[in-house]
Amino acid sequence: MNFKFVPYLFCFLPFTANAAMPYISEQVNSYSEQQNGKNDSQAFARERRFYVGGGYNFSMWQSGADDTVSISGKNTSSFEGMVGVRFTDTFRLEANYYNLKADWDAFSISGNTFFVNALFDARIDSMYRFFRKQVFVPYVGFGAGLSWNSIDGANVENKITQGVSALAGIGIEMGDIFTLDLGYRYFYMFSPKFDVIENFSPIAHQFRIGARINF
Amino acid sequence: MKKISILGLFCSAFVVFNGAIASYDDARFRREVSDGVDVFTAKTNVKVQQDEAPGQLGLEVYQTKTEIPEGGLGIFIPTTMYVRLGGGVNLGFASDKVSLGNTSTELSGGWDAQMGLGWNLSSYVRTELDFQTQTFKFSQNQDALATTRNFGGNLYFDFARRYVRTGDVIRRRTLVPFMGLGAGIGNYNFEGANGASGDFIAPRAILGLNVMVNDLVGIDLAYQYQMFIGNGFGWNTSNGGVQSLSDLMLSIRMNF
Repeated sequence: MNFKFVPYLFCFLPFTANAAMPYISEQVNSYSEQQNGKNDSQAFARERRFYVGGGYNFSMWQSGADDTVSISGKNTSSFEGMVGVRFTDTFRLEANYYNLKADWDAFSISGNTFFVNALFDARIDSMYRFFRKQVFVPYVGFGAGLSWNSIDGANVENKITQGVSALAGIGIEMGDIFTLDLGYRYFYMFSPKFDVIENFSPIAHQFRIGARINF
Repeated sequence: MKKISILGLFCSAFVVFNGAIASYDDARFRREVSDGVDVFTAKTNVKVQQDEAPGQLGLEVYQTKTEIPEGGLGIFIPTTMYVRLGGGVNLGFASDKVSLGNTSTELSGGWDAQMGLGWNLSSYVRTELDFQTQTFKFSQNQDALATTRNFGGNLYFDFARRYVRTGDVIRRRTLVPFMGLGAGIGNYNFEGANGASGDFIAPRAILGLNVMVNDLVGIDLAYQYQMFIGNGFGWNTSNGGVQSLSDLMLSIRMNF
């Protein structure tokens, strides 16, 4: 039998030996600190994992036009509610219900809109909350969902339409439990395909004031 | 009896004046107890008045640099991210005109909304993802309307470090000029007959000034230039072409 390959095989030993070396581990977080202390990315979220909220919504609906028709948007007001969960101190997901009321001079829409919003809170690291009390917590986020619409004054091809939104605002935290919410939302609904105007997508600039209860 | 009384009076007087004879300072004793002997002694014995420099050479030796003002110290909070909330106005005089077939009109009275999420990569480099919506108005036809929506990404460079480490002391700057480069992608629509619409891409450049209100919150005043590349810009216009758009943006940036 030819054993000439054996020296070559030994050449691979260093690689094999290195591969067999145990990896170097570094403790970057203390489990006991997570359990007992307040200093990690979920310090607040752990205490107040969920929240519910509601608010008033003032919407400025955008005008539109096609080759023949021009419609003028009006202002409407409505209400909304939300249920949310905090994954970390700076990130939360919420299910948002919005009682849609949209009005133009040619027709109007009322409906039920359900969105899922992903929001990022500008909450400072828990380590520094011993030295600095944060009352104002700005946030930005985005959302997507569906709207079940009822149209008055026009016919549409799709009564259930998709929508997307971009959100920004400031949470005014009055303690851990109660938060006052002042916000803005850019609301974009994909076109339900109206028969009176072509390719018209309802768009609104919405200003929101509400409150959240953290628990 | 009389001798005993005199002796008693003498003893009493000795007791009463014993402290005075020993020069015992009752107030000092109380301060030593309340402040601690070591602290009280240090306050009493150490000469706290600063020595005057004896000459030019001595002045140089004793000169104090990077003096920290009393009461100006705080705990520096390192931050990794920030959110931006703001808006802006369209600068019609610094933007290209909008096509109306054979004529054109100037942008006038348009406004923007902006919200962003950013990362502080270092003391002078940042990156940001943002959403902007623009509403265009026009000088000739006040009822006409065009809108855009776009997601963008920017890389920002601060012209001065936002914070500077000097030994154990970290200084935060109040005024920080900056520039940014990036691009946005989205869609737009000129409302009405033969209005241009569709998707667009807009490389952008930003030049601005950041004014920090406190350790975490700052206000950005910035000029934004966009090189708008889409399916035309206006009504009865041909596809293609590049449009220069200028905006003045004002936003709040909160670090966390």
